[in-house]
Formats: sequence, structure tokens, C-alpha cells
Amino acid sequence: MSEVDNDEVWDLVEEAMDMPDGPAKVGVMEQAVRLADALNDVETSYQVRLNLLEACTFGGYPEKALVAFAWCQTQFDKDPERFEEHDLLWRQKWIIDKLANFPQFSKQQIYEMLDDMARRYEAWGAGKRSELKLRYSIAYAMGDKSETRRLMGEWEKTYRDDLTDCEACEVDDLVEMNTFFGDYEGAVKAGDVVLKTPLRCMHVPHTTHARLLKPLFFLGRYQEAMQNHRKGYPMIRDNPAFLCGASQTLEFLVLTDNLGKATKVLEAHLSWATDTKELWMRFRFYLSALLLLNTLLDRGKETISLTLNQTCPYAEPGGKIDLKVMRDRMMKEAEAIGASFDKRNENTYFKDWMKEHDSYRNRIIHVPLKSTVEAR
Amino acid sequence: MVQKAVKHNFQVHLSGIIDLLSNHLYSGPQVFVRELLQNAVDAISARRNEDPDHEGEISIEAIEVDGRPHTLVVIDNGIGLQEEEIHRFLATIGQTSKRRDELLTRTADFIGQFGVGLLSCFVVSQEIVVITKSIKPDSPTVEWRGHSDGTYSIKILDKDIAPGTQVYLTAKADSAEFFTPARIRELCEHFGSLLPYPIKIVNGTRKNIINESGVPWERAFLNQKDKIAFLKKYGEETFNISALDCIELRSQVGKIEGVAYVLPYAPSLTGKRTHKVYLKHMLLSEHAEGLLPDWAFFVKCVLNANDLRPTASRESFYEDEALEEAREELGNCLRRYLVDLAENDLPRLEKLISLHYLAIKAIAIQDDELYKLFIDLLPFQTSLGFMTLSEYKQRSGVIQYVRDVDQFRQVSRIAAAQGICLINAGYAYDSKLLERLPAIFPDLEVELIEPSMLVQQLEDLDFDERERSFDLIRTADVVLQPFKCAAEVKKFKPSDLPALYSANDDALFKRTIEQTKDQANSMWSGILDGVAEDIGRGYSQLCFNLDNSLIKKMCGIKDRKLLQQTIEMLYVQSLLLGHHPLHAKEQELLNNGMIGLIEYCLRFQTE
Repeated sequence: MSEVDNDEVWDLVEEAMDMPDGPAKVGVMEQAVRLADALNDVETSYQVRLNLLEACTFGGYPEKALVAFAWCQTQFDKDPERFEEHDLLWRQKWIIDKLANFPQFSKQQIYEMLDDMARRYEAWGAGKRSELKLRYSIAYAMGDKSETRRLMGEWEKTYRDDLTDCEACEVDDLVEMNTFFGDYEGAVKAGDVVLKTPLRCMHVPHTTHARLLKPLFFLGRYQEAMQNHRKGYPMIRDNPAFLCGASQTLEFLVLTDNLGKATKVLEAHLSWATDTKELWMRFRFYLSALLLLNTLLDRGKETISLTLNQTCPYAEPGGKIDLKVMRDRMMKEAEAIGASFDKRNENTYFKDWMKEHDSYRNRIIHVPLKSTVEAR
Repeated sequence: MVQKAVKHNFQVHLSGIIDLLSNHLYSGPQVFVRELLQNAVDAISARRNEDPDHEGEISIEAIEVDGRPHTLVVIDNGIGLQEEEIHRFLATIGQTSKRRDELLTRTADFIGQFGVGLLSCFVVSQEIVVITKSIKPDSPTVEWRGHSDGTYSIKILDKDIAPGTQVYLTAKADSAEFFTPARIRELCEHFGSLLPYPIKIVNGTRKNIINESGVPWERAFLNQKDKIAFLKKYGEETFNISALDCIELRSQVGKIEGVAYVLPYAPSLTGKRTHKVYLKHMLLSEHAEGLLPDWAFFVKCVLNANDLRPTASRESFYEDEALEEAREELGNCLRRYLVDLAENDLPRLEKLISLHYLAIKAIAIQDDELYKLFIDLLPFQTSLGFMTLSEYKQRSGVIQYVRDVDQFRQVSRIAAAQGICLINAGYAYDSKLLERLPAIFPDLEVELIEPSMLVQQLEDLDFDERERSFDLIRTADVVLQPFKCAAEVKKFKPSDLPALYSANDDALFKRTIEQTKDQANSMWSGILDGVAEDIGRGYSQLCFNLDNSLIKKMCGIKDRKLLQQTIEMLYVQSLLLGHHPLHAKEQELLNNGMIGLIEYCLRFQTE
């Protein structure tokens, strides 16, 4: 009944591979998967899904990656001889890493999945380093500082193996963790390791620059922070997988009192935040957005003009938006998301985080953007 | 007077350094030619600092003994060295060996660099002899003889030579391939074709200058047309491509000049963008990256930088602020070129866009001015074929687009049949470009279309038709309800299409989750439910076509069971037609439906 053939599927995959990461690439890969499924050829479906999974992970659609992974693992378990195990195990980390960012997954579900991964990794002959990194990442996502610290201590004792993240990613992550612990010096030190050596990966140093903004700012190293912004923002501004970096950029621009540029960044990325199903990331962006909206209100502004994608719930015809209405609405939404996380995590991290972040309104210091090399 | 040779020692672990150079930092042993040329050029430049009228010259000869490669002789008429200076460069080797950056980036002073340059020759040579005479008054001719084991000797020679330096390399047994006249010539051309002083290759009695034509973009031309023709030809020789056009590049920062060639083919979007770059006229790399902004993937360039810092391996430039600013300036050269084309040479711009529209789309997203200039010229895939935005605007007042390829696939045929022009914005950059339209052209109406909206635009039934199809629609609603699919009857072309299945992103994703759940184990099914929970209700619809003869017949079916089965089969068939994989329940429909219909036919047969 179907006139699709294998070539058509792989043509689409190739076409997608040639596209920059992001929704368009994911769309074409999804189409390839649908066509492959219509062929009723499990092998093709499996291989194309691995590609889709990768496009989703690096293009900002972790929930789609998860569904693709579930399908692949199911097929793998049915017939382990048929597929390459390392390919699948490698991708399993990406999936587990994102689970805690969805409040609808219970702790039990998350740890059940993690244990399943740990069993498979062990059977494959890998050490515990990947598992421990995920354990501390999950503790971090749940806002548990002491547990994160404890697990990082365990993680540090292990060695790298064929399934652990590359060194670039590991060190890049230390920037975030040290910032989380409030150790800004440590964060900058880790950042130096990434930026002053040839350590590179798919998302490194893209994420590194944005992660360094806050620690450098709070250490008073404004010029370096600005340099990181200038270098890093062009690397992340076109791919929704970097929503976190966009949030960090927005926060930084408000902190440095560049409200015009901050508004532009809000306009460019708000629809990423409203589109994403990964609520942790939406919350993170809303924190930065609220910092901007509140700062504008503090300065007596009443409206903000934003050209938003027509599917974005904050879009207004004509583009002029009432600041207070927008702020109240976003705050309510952020509070609701935070509450769902706090309920799942059984703590008050998100509530506290929101409060602490709001206090950044009193930390604003003007640092000029260097206009000559400013990204358009 | 012949002074007795005095034995000295480098005081460093020379073989360690040589190993470091050859195996870890340099791209290969052949770089010794680059280093020798650089030494000669530096020596001549130093002499010209004192005597601007001095005409420098470098000569190179590969001497074969018994038909086998043996010795390489490099002679320059540069500043020459005094004995004290030789001691100094050797000391520099000792120091720089501890700082490998300096060892390789030639950041030491001239004398120090000379030694460092010589070092790389030990990668291919057992013994190096340098005979040199300084231009300083009363300087004797000095001979330095160094060995790869780290020992060397210096003596003053009786014989007087013209000021300058002669370097003699004896080939190591395993490096003979680098010493053939043909290879030496090739390497000299490779590294030195843009060097400012003539490089003479001596082969027996034949002498050849390999860099006579000089730096192409620094030459004087009668007019711009000649210049472009010449540069194009140079591009053809350099990259083996017949470029669409060439663009002159210039940046104050980094003191850069060069030429960008517009590729005659559409390059891969995600491939590496490499360029041929020279540092102070010496070839640095044929595959340097990061010199142009990301969007500039439609050109390949060759350029010379006089003031950028090379990386340790001397194969690319160091990523610093100067490079960042230079990149911006070079990007502006390309930008100005494009703007100029838009204003003065539309046909050429159209030709460029037909090949490089992806690059132009990439830059238009980031640059409002270019966006305004180019957007009308950019091609988009539509339900009525490829067309530029301006062609589209002539056809339709409202710009309608769907966001992904799948939705386009669902409705493009129907849209085309109704004469509706719909853009497929599922490819790289297209969504972003179209979303920006209203911000830049406030008068334009732009509409993001969901497939369901398109279905709504199809022709409605009149009263009688509605009455006639009432049973069909009511039954269909009930039959399709378990599949979360709404039913509708409309009239549309093509009339041979009985029904159209359409769904939005959320609905399709839900289908995928459903399909995965059919197979996955219980651990997954909880997780998959969790994913589905947060997805909107989604929307899917089966729209029957009353212009289709089969549907007309279905309106007359009195047998409820048969009608139900026919609807189920049409539903499954529409899914398959749209290449939507069936999940278990739908597969079951297909199986049962088939059997049912067969039975139905057989019943007629037996009656």
C-alpha cells in the first residue's frame, strides 16, 4: 500500500543530518522515522530512530528523545544480537540525565530507570562513573546540595571508561556544579580548564561561556564576563537545546543593566521556553524573564514590545504587552511549576530559588556591552 | 688562518625536542622547508631594515649523489650571523625548549627564531652545516656544524663569501624522499609562492623562480575587470574550482588581505569551512577554520594576515579578540558585496541565491538590513512548487505556511488541488524567516497554518448534501472516537481522494507514544504515560470528500455494520496514505476489516 522505499528514508536522514540542530532537523528526522516505520523494517526503524534520538537530544526535545529511546531499547531487548549495544547504552545516559527535569516523573520512576541503566552498564563491563555522574546530576536537578556533594565525592574516585562522558563535558559540568554550591572561584577555574585548552565537544564550549557569566559577574570580573557573553551567545542563540544558556544570558544582561539587549534576548527565546516540555528549563528561563520584567516595573515602565511567534501564549497582536499582566501571569505559572517540582522532590528548593533569584534585582551594576563586536 | 674546531654541546636533550616537533606539533616533516624559507626571509628583511635598497634573493638546490637524494643547499643574501650570534641562537634553543609555545610560534627575536627554525631540520637531517657571514664590517665567515645527537662545532673559515647564510642539510636515510629536486620544488611552491623575495630553484644549470607572480591581490592592474579576471584564474588554480565570483577581503585588525571565492556548488550546511591562509606571506594552512562568520559558508577564501597570532602548531590562528574582530571585518566585506549586488546587479545576485540560498537565509536571520534586501529573492518550497517570496506575494495576499515537513506532506496535495499556495517551513531557517516577516514588514499578513485550519477552508456542504451524509458522519464519529479522531464531511479536489487524515504535532507525538507503548515493557509504560500527560490534547481529523464517488455511495449504505467497517477501512487507508505507522489497535482494524470485507463479498457469492 505504501510507495516508500528505503532510499527515500535515508535521503531524508541525510537531509536532516545536514541541517543545524533544532526543531527543523527534528521535524525531518521524525518524518524519516514515520516513513521507516511504514516500511515495516525494524532494522531501518531502529537506525533512523537512533538518529532522531540524537537530533532531539541536541536540538532541545528530550521528551521526544525519550520516546524514541524507549522504542529502541524495547527492540534491543527483544533481539540483542541484532543491534550494536554500545550505541544504545551511550544514548541511555542522555535520557536518564533529563528525567528529573520533568516533574511528572516520580522519584521512584527516575531511580528505577537509573538502576536499570546501571545494571546494563555493569553487565557491559563499564565502571560506575557514568552512573554516579547521573546520580549527582539528578540530585542537583532536585536541588539537594549535600547529596550532590556527597555523590560528586564518590564520582571523583572513579575512572573514565568507554561509556563515560568526554572530559570536556565533565569539566564543563563542574562549572555549573561549583556555581550551584556558590563556589564561584571554583567555577571559573573549571571554566578556564575548558576554555584555555583544546577540550571540545558537541556542546562545549558553547554552554561553558554562558555558565561562566554568573560566577564571573558575582566575582566582580565584569569585563571577562562580557567577553564570555560576546563569544558564547552567537554559539547558542539558534538552538533551543541551549535554553539554559539563553536563560543565563538573559539574567546576565539584566544584572549588567543592558535592558534593551535583554529584551531582545527575551523576545528571541521566550517561545523556546513556552514550547519546551522540559519544565525545569521553562522554569529556569522564567526566573530570568521575571528578573527583567520586575526590573522594568521597578523603573516605572508599563509596557514592553515583543514580536513573538504567534503560537507563543504571551504573544499580543500589535506586540505591545502590559508588563504587570505579563509578570503576574508568568509568576503564577512559574510558581505552579516550582510547586510541582517541590512536591515531587519533597523539599522547597524551587520556592527558595525563586525568592533568591528575585533578590538579584538589588545586584544590578551597569557594564556596557562593547558595541563594535556586538552580535547583531 | 684556520682556527681549530671547538666542540660544544647544546645542553639540551635535542632528540627529545626533535621528537616533540616531528611527532606532536608539526603536521609532518615537510615543514622543515617552511622553516628554512622563513629563516631566509627573516634574514633578508633584517638586512633591508638597514639597507632598504638591498634586493633579497633565496636560492635552493637539491643535490643528488649517485642518483640518490643527498644534500639540500639553501642560500640567502640576508643579514648573516656573527659567531657571537650563533652562540645566542643556540642558547635560545635551550631556553625555548622549555616553552614549547615560543618554540613554535616564532615569537622569539630574529636570532632566536633562526635557531628554532634550524631545529626542525633535524627531523629530516643527520647533519646541518651553516656557513654565514654577517654584513657587519670585518665579520669573518663562520661555519657551524651541528649533529642530531646534540653536539656541534664552530670554526672561523679562511675563505670569504658574500654576506648572507648558506645552509647545507644532509638527508637522513629515511627522509630521502623529501630531498628530491621535484619534492623540494613542490614544497617551496606550496609554502613560499607568496613570499616577497624571489626564490630560485637551482637544478644543475637550470634556474627557476617559483614566486615570480607575487601576491595576486597586491598586484597593480589596469582596471577592475582585469583584476577580477586574474583573481578568478588564481582561484581556479588554488582551489580547482571555477568560482561564481570573487570578493576582495580586507581587515585592519590582523592586517589581512585576500580574496573570497563564491563556490560554484552548494556546500554542506554542517561541513567544515576551511580556507587557505598565509601568515606574513608564508603558507600557514590550507585548511584553516574560523576565519569567517558562521554564515559565510558560500565562499572559500585565500588570505594573508600580517598581524594575527598563529597557534602552536602554526596551522591555524589563535582564537583571540583580534581574530574575533577580524572575522567581523571580513564578514562585513562579504556583506557589502551582497548589498552591492542587491543594489546594482540583481541577475548576479539571483544566480548566487539559486545556489547559496541557505547561506543567505542564515545571514538574513541575523541581520535586519540584509533580511529586507534578500527576503523577496529567497526561494521556498510551496504546495505549488518552488518559488521566491516575491512570486508568492504576487499570487496570494496572505502568506500561509506550515511549520514542519510532516504537516506539509499531509496537506500539500489538497492545498495544491484547491489552488492554495502553502509554504513548507520545515527546512532549516524557513520558520524563523517567516516568523520575522511581520516585524519587518508590518503590512504583510503572515499566517501559521495547522492542517486542521486548512481543512476548515475546504468547501462546506449545502443543506441537502448535509442531510444525505448525516448518517455517515454520525457513524464515523462513533467509530473513530476510540482513536481520538474527529470526523467531518467536506467537498474538495482531487475527487479521487475519498478522505484526508490530518493531525497536528501534539497528536502525532501522541500517536508515536501510543505506538511505542504497544511494545514497551511496564517500566516504560509509566514513563511514557508521564510524557503523554503533559502534551496538549492534540488534534486529529478524518475529513470525507463528498465529491468522491465512493463517499457518495457510502452515504446510501443502510447496513450499519457494513458502513462501520467501511469507515474503519477508510481511516486505516488514510493513515497509510499519509505514511503514518499503525499502532496495535489500528493494525487490528485493518486485519478484521479485511476479513470482514472478504466475508461480505463471499456472502454475495454464495447467495
